[in-house]
Amino acid sequence: MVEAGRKDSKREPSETPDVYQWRELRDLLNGPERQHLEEISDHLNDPVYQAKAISKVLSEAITLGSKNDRIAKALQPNIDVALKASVQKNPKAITDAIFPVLGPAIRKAIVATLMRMIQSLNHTLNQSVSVRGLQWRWEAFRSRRPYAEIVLLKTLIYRVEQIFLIHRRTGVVLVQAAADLVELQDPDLISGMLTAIQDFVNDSFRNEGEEMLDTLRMDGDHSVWIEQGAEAVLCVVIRGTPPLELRDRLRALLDEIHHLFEKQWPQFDGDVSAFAMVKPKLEEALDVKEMVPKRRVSPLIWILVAAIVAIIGFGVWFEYGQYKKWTRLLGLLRAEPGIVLLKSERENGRFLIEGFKDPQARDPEELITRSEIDAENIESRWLPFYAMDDDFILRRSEEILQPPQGVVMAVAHGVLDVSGEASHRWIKRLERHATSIAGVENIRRNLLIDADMDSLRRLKRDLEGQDVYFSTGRSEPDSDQDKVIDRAADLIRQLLALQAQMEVMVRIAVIGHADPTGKPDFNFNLSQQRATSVLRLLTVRKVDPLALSATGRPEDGGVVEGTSRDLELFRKVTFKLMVTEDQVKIDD
Amino acid sequence: MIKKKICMIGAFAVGKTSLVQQHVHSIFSEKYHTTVGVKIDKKTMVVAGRQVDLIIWDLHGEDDFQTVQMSYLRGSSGFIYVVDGTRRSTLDIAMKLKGRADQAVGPLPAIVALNKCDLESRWEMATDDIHRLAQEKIPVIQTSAKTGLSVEPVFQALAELVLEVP
Repeated sequence: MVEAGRKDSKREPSETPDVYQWRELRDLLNGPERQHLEEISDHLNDPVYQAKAISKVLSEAITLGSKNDRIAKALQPNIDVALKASVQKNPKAITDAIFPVLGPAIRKAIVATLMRMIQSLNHTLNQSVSVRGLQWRWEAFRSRRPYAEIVLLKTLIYRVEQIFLIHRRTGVVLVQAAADLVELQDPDLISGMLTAIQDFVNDSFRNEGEEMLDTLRMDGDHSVWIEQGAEAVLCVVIRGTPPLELRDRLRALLDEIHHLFEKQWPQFDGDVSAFAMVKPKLEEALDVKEMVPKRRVSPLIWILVAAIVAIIGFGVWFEYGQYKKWTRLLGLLRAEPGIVLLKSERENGRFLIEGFKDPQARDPEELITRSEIDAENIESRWLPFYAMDDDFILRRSEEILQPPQGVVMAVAHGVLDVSGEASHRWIKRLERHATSIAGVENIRRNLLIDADMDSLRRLKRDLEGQDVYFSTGRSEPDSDQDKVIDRAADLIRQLLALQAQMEVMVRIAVIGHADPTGKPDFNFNLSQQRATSVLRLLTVRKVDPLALSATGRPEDGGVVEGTSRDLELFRKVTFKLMVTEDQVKIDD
Repeated sequence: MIKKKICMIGAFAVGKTSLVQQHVHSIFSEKYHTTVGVKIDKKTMVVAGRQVDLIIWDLHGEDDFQTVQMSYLRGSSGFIYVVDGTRRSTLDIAMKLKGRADQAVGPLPAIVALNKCDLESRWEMATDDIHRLAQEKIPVIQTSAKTGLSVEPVFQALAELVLEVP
C-alpha cells in the first residue's frame, strides 16, 4: 500500500502483465484521491501531527465548550490530581504562584473578622456611657476611627519589661534596659541563648536566613518580640498583650539605631561602650504606660450598696438612738429618789428593768414614757420598799398623818419634828402613829400647840369660877344668881361641844355647899338639895343632864369663925370639871 | 566594656563542660546541650587592663548522633578546641572540626586544650601530634578539669589572642 502513492510505478516481478496494466489504469483514474486518503490515514496514526492539529483548535474548542460547563466538569478531576501532584513535587512553585493572592486574601479575611468583632463590640459599647467612654468617643470622632478600635487600643494591658539591643552576628548584648522591679538574669547569656535558638530554628527548618523568629510566647502572659535588623536585633520582653502599633515603634527605633551607628557596624570588635548612648532611647520605649481599664460598676450595684449602707446606717443610727435613750432612762431612774435599780438588761432587742420603788417615789412609768422608748419593747417590774432618807420619811409621815393646815413637819436623822397649831384629835393621832412610821425613830413636838386643850383649860377655868350663891337655909339660889347659872350653862354647852371634837369625856360635878352653922345632917341635905336644884336649873337651860352629877359637900369639921359675910361665902354651889382621858392632863 | 563571643568545640565527652563549670557564670542547665545543642556561659576577666566579657558558647560535642552546627560559630572571635588526651581519636575530630570551622567563618584565633592530663597512665597523645599542632600555630595547653590545672590560662590566652595583645 505504501507504494500506491508513487507516480512512476514499475511492474513488480511477481505481477502478471494483466495485473500490472489493471493497476496502472487504476492509478491513472483515482491516483490523486488515493494518495490524499493515504496521507489522511497517516496523519490519523501520527500522534505528533494530531497534537499539533488539536493545539491549533484547542483554545477555540475550549472557548466554544465553555458556553456550557461540560468542559469544566470534564477537566475538574484532572486538574485536582494535577494540582495535588504539583504541590507534592514542588510546593514552592505553587506557593510563589498563590502568594500574591493569599496574602491579601488572609488579610481581607482577618480584617473582615476583626470588623465584625469591632461591630459587635461597637454595638455593645454604644450602650454604655461613662466619662471615660465619652472621652474615647471624642477621640474616635477626632481620629475618624471606629469607637471600638479606640476602646481596644485603650484597654490593652501590657508592659514592656526589658529591651535588649543585640549584635546580630555575635549575639552580644550591645545595650539593655529594664523596667523597675523586673528581675534581671544575665542579659548576655539570655541574648546568646536567644541567638542560638534563632540559629537552631533556622537550621532545623532550613530557613534561607530571610525568615526570622519574631515572637516567642511564654506561659500566656509573657512574650518576647524580636525585631530583626541588618546588624542588630531588638529583643523586647513584654508582659500582657501589646498593640501591634508597638511593632512599628520598635521598628522605627531599630532603624534609628542602625542609622546612628552606621560607621561602627563594619568594625564592631566587641566593644559595646559606644552603644551606651542609646540606652535612654530604650528606656523611653520601656516607658509604655500600663493602661488598666477600670471596671465599670453597674449603677445597680451602687444603688444596692447605697441601700445596704443606708439600711445599716439607719440600723446603727436607730440602735444608737435606742441606746442613748436607754442609758438616759437608766441614768434618770438611778438619780430618782426612792427608786433603786436592781437589774437593767437588753434581751433580744427588749429592755428589761427590775428594781425597788418606794410608794412615795415618782412613778417610774412616767420616766419610761418620757424616754420615748417604745412601750412594747420595755418591761419593768417594781418591788415596794421604804426608802430611809429623811425626805422619804417625811413624805411617808405626811402621807400617813395628813397634817392639818398650820402644822409644819420636818425630818432630820429619823426625828420627826412637828410644829404649829393642831387639833387635839390630830395630836393624839400623831402620838399614836408617828413612831410606827417606817424611819421615824422619835418625835419632837415642843413647838406644837394643842389648840383644843387650850380652849378646854380656858373653859374649865371659867366654869369653875362660876359660883351660885344661896341665902341661909335655902335650897334655891337667890334670884340674882340666874345670870351666873346662864353663864355656867353656856360654858358647859361649849365644853360638851369641845368634848365631841376632842374625843374626850367631860363630866361636870355640880357640888352643893352649906355654911358650917347648924346640924351637919341638915347641912348635908341642904348642900345636896342646892346641887340638885342647880343641876335642874342647868337642865332647864338645855344642858345634857348625862354630863352632870350633883353632890353635896357641907363644910363640916373645923368651925369657921367669921362674920355673916364670911358665912355667906359658904352657901353656894360650885362646878368641877373632870375630863377622862389617859393621855390628857387637864390639871395644870 | 568589651564582649567577645568564643566557642568551645570538640568531640563528645572530652570534658568541655567540666572544663568551664567551675570557672564561669552560668544560668542554663545541661539539657540545652541535648536540645538546642549549645549552652551559653559567661566569663568576665581583665586583659591588659581592660575588662572583657567572654560569652562562651559551649557547643555540644560532635558524635555519631549530633554534628556541630556551624551556624553557631557565626560571629565568634575565637575557638577553644578541646581534646581528650586519653582518646587519640578526639584530636582527629577536633582537627576535622577546625577544618570545617575555618571554612565556615574563616581562620580565627584558637587554642587547643589537651584535657584530662591527670590521667597520665591512659595518655594516648604522641609527641608528633603535638608537633603537628605547633605547625598549625595553635597554642596547646594541657588542662585538667578534675584538678583545675591551667583552666584559667586557657581563657586568658585565648582572650589575649582575640584582643591581639602582643
